[in-house]
Amino acid sequence: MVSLVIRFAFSTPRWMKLIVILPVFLLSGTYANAGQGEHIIITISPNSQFQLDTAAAIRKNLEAIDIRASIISTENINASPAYANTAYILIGNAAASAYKAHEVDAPVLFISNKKLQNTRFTSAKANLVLEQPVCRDVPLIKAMDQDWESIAFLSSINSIERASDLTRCAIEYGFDIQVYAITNDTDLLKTLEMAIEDNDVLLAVADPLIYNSRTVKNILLTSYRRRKPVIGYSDNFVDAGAIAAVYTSANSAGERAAQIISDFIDNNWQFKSKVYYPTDFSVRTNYQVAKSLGISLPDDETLHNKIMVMEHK
Amino acid sequence: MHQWGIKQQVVFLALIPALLISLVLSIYFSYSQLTSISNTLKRHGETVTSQVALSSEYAVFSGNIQSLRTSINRALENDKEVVRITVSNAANTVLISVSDNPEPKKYPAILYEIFGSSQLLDFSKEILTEEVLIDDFDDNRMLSNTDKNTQDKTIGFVELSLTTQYSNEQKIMSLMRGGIITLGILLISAFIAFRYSRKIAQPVQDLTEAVKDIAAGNYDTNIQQDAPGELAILESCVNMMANELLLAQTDMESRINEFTNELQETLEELEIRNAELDITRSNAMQASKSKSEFLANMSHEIRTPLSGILGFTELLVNTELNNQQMDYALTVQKSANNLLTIIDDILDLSKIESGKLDITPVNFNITDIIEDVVDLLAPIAYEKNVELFYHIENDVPCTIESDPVRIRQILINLVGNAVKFTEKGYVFLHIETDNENTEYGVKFTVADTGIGMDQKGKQKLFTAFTQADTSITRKFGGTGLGLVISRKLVLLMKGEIGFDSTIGEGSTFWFTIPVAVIHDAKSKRIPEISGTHIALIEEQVLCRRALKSMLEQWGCIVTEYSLERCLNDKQLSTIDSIDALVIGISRKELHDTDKYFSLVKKQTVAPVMTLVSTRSYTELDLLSNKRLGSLVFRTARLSTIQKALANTINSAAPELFKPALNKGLHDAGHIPQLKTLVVDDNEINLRLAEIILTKNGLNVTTCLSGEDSIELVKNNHYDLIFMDLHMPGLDGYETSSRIRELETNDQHSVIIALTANAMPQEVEKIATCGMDDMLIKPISEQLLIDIIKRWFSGVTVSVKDSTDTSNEPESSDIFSLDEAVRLTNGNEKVALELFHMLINELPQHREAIIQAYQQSDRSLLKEHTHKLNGASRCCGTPALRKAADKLETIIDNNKEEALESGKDGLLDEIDRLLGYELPPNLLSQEQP
Repeated sequence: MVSLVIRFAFSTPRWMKLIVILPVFLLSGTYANAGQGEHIIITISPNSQFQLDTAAAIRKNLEAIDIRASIISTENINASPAYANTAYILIGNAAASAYKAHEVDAPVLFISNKKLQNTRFTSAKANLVLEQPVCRDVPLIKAMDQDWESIAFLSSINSIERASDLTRCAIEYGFDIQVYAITNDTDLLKTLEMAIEDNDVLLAVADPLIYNSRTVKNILLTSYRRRKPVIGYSDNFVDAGAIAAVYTSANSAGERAAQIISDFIDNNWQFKSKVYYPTDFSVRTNYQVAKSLGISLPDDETLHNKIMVMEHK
Repeated sequence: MHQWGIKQQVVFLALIPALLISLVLSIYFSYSQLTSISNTLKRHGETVTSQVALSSEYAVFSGNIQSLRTSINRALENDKEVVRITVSNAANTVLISVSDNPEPKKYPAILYEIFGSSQLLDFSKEILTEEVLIDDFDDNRMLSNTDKNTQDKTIGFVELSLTTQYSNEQKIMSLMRGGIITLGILLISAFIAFRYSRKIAQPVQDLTEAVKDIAAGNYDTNIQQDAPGELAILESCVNMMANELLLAQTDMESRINEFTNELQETLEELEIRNAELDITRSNAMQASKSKSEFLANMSHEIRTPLSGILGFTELLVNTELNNQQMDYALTVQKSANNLLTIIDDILDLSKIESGKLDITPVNFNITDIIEDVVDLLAPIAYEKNVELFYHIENDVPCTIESDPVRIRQILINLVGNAVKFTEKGYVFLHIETDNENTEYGVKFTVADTGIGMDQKGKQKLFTAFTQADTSITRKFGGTGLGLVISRKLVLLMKGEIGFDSTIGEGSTFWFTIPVAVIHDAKSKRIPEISGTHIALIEEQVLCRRALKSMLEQWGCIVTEYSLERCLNDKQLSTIDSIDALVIGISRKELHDTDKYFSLVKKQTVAPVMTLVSTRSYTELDLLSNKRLGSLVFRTARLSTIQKALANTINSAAPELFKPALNKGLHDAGHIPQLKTLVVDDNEINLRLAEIILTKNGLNVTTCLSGEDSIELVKNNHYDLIFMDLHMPGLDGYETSSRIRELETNDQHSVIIALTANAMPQEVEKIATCGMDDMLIKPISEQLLIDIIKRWFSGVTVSVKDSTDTSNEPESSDIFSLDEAVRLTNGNEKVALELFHMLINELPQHREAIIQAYQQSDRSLLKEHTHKLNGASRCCGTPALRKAADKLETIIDNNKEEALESGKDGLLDEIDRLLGYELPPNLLSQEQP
C-alpha cells in the first residue's frame, strides 16, 4: 500500500494526481483538518516586510497547486501544528535560527539572501539563495547605456569572491573595474572618495562591512557630491539612493520557492539540489537620483530585457 | 451702587463686563502669546539644532570642516536668533564654533528683564548617523544591531545658542499690542456705554419729568416718542395715561360742578328745612316746655287744692261725725286719694316717656319697703276679707342698693292691683334672690286668687290706659297706667317683669331687678327667742308656711299643729314642753274664734301669741277677751312681732301690740318747739299746715307771699320754714335765696320746699337756691312730722349761747310710754313700774329742792336736781328731764339770775307729772 502511494505520488503526472487527490480533499473538508495531505509551514521574521511578501507569494503559489501552506512567525515555530506531512520554508536567518533552536525535525527549505554558512544541506534541507549574481550588475550598468567606463568596487573580506567574479564580468562587458579593499582599519570615506574620484560608477554588493545602514547614506552622499552613481543590490538600496539595482523580488522568490517545494514534494519529499538560485530577476531604477545626476535611464523593463539579451548572448 | 441712576448703571453694566472680558482675554492671550513665543523659540532652537546636526552629519562624518563652516554660517545668516553654533565630534572635540552678535535692542533693557535675565537659550543635539535600510532581509540588521549601543551611532554633537532678545521683543510687542488693543476696546466700550447710557437714560429722564408734570396736575403734558423699544412703549403709555387722566379730570370737574350745583340746591333746601325744623323744634320745645309747664302747673294747680281736700278731709275724719257724715267724709277722702293716684300716675308716665325720670340708687333695707307696702295695703285687703301676707326668703340680703322709691311704687301697684282684683282668698308677696342671670338680683312675686285674665286680656296688659277688660274699669276702676308705669320702671332699672294668669283662678305678677348687695343676708336669730319650742296653729297653708319660716329664721323650733286635730285629739295637751303657742287667725276666722279660745283654755298652759289678720283696733280689742294671749296685727312690723313673741315667752301678761302709727311729734322723742314759718299763696294749704303744725306743738307763723316772708325773716329768726315754690311775684326759689342772704352765720333756718311735682331740674334748683329739703304735695301730717323729725330730732340748744335757755323750746311730753319702754328694753311693765316709782318719789324730791333753794345750798340743790334728773332719764319723762337738766346747768354755770326760773320750771314739771293720768289701758297694769 505504501509503495503504491509512493509510486502514485512520484510517478503519476500532476493532472492525474489532481484527479485523484482533489476529490479526496473535497470530500475531506477544509485545509484546516490537520494530519491530511502536505502542509508547508512558512516561517518568517515578523519584522520583515520582504519576508512577509515572500511568504505570501509562496503560499499563493503553493495553494495554486493545492499545497497547503501556513505562515508563522519565528516565535510560534514551536507551536506550529504537527501535520502528517510537513515541510518548512524558513525565510531569513531568524527563522533558520529558530528552526535550529527548536530542533524541528522536518524537511526545510531555507531562503536567504546569501548562501547559508555552517549548514549541512541534505535532501531534506535545501537553500534558496536570492542574491543575484554579482555579474548581472555589469550588464545592468551596460544596459544603462551611459559613458561609463570604469567601475569602482569596494570589497572587504566578505565580498572578495565576488570581486574576482566581478572583475571577470566587467572585463567581459568592456568595463574597467577597480577593486578597493576595505578592512577595519581602512578609512572608508577616504577610500570611497578615492574610488569615486577615479571611476565612473560605484558598484555595491551585499557586504555589511562596507554597505550597512550606517554607512550607506554617507557613501551615497559622498558619491553624489562627486556626481557619481551607485549601483545597488536591492530594492531598498535603490530607495536609499542607488541609481539602479538588480534583485530578486518577493514574488519571484515566492514563485521560485513554491516551484522548489513542488519539485520537492514531487521528488518524494526530497530536494533535488542543495542550493537553489532564483530563475528570474527584477530591475529597479531610481529616476530621481538619475535626474539629479543628469542621467537619462531607460525604464526598468527595457533594462531587464537588455540584460536578458546580454546574458543570453 | 443702589443709589446710582440708570445712566451710571448702564455705564457700569457696559464697562465692567467689557473690562473683565478684556482683561481676562488680554491676560490669557498675552500669556498664550508669550508662552507660544517662548515655545516657538525653543522649538526653533531644537529645530535648528536638529537641522544643523543633520546637515553636519556628512561633514562630521567626512571631516569636512569647511563644508561644516559653510552650513553653519548659512544657518547663522539665515537665522538671526542663532548666535552661536558649536560642532564637536564624538569625542567632544570642538570641530567648529561660530557665533554671531544679535542686533541692537529695540526697547529699554528693563523691559527685557521682565522675561527673565537669561538672554541665551542653549540647545544641544547629537549628530547621529542615520540608519538607512538597504537590505531586503532586515533580520540581518536585527541580528547585527541587537547589542549595538547608541554611542556607535553618535558621531558628534551640535551645541546651539539662541538669543532671547528677539523673542523678548516679540513678547514686548505682543504685550504692547495686547495692551493697546485692550485699552482700545475699553475705550470703545466706554464710549459706547456712555453714549448708549445717555440714549437710555435720557428718555427715562424725559419720562420722569413728564410724570412729575402729570403728578403736578399738568395732564396735557405730552412726551415726544423718540426712544426705541420698550421705552417707546412706555412713552406711549404715559401719554395715554396723561390723556386718560386729563379726560378723567375733565369729567370729574364737570361732575363736581354738577354735584356742586345739586349740593348747592340741596343745601339751600336743607337750610330751608333747617329753618323749618328750627321753627318746628322751637315749637316742639315750646310745646314740650308748655307741656312740662302745663304738667307742672296742672300738677301744682291740681295738687294744691287736692292737698287741701285731702288734708282737711283727714282732719274731718278725725273729728266727731255721725255715721252719715263719716261715710261722706270717707268717700270724699277716698275719691281724693284716687284722684291723687291718677294724677301721680299720669305725671310719672309723662316723666318716664320724656326721659325725665331718674333711678336713684341708695342703700336700703328690703324689709322696710315690704312692711311699708303691706302696711299701706293691708287695711284695704282686710276690708275685703282678703288675706295679705308676705315672706322674705332667708338668703335675701339685708341691705341692697337700688331705688327704694320706685320699688315701693311698683310693689304698691302690683300688690294694690292684686288686692283690687281679688274678691276672696289671698294676696301673697314673696321675695327671693334671683341668680339666674349674671347679675345678682332680687325677685318679687305677687300671687293672688283673684279674677285672673283670659288670653285677650293678657295681650292688652301693659298697654297704657287699657285694662284687660273694659268691664273691669267699670267694676274696679283704675286708669290702666299702673302696670305700664311699673313695667317702664322695671326696665329703667334694667330688670324684667312678667306675669301669668288663669281666668277665674288668679294671677301671678313678678319682677326681677339687679341690685348691689350692701349687707348680705345674715342670721335673723333673735337671742331672746332662739331655741324656744313654738307650736304653730295656722289654718291658711301659705300663711302657715310663711309663719313657720319666719319663726325658724328667728331661731325657734317650730312644730305645726292642725286645729282640727288639736280640737279632736287634744294634741296640744300631750306636749309637755312648748315655750309658746302661736296662733294665726285669718280674716274668715275672725268671727269664729271660740274654737281657739277653747283650745287655749283647755289644752295648754303655755303662753300664747295670736297673729290676727286685721288692722282694726276694734277687732283686736274684741279678741282681747278671748284669752288668746298677746294679740298682734299679722301685718305688724317684724320688730313688733318679735317683741311680742319675746314678751309672750318671757312674761305671763298678754298684751296688745299695736304698731306705732301716725306718731305725733310729741311721740317722736325730743323735738323742740320750733319756730316755724309757712309761706304759701294758697290760704287753704296755709291753714292746713298751720293746723297740723300747731297740733304738733310748733310755733307757726304764716304768710301768703315771698315778699312778706322776707320781711318776717328780717325781723325774726325761724327755725323751720316751709316754702311753697310756685307763688305769684317772688317765687319760692328767689325767696329762699334772699332769705339765705339775710342769714348770719349762727342763724340758719331749715327751709323745706313745698312742691306739687318733683322734676329732677326742680330738685336741682331747690338745692341751688339754698333750700334744705323738699315735700311733695299734698302734704300730710305724717309727712310733716317725718320731715321735721329728720331735721330736728335730737337737737338740744343752739350754738349761739348754750346757756341761754330762754328761747329753748320746752318739751311738753310729760310721759312718753315709747321712751319708757325703750329705756326698759321693751318691757312695758317695768317701764310703768318705774314710772310709778318716780311718781311716788316726786313729792320728796320737790320738798328737797325747795328747801335747798331756800337755804341757798347750791350743792344740795344740785344734788337733788341731779338725782331727779337721773331718775327722770329712766322713766320716759322728757319734760321733767329737760327741766332738771336745765336747772343743773344753771347751777353749774352759777347763773344766779336764772336760778329761780330754773327752779320754778322744774317744780312746774314736777307738778305736771304729779297731775298726769295714764291712759286707761295702762292703768290696769299699775302696780297695786
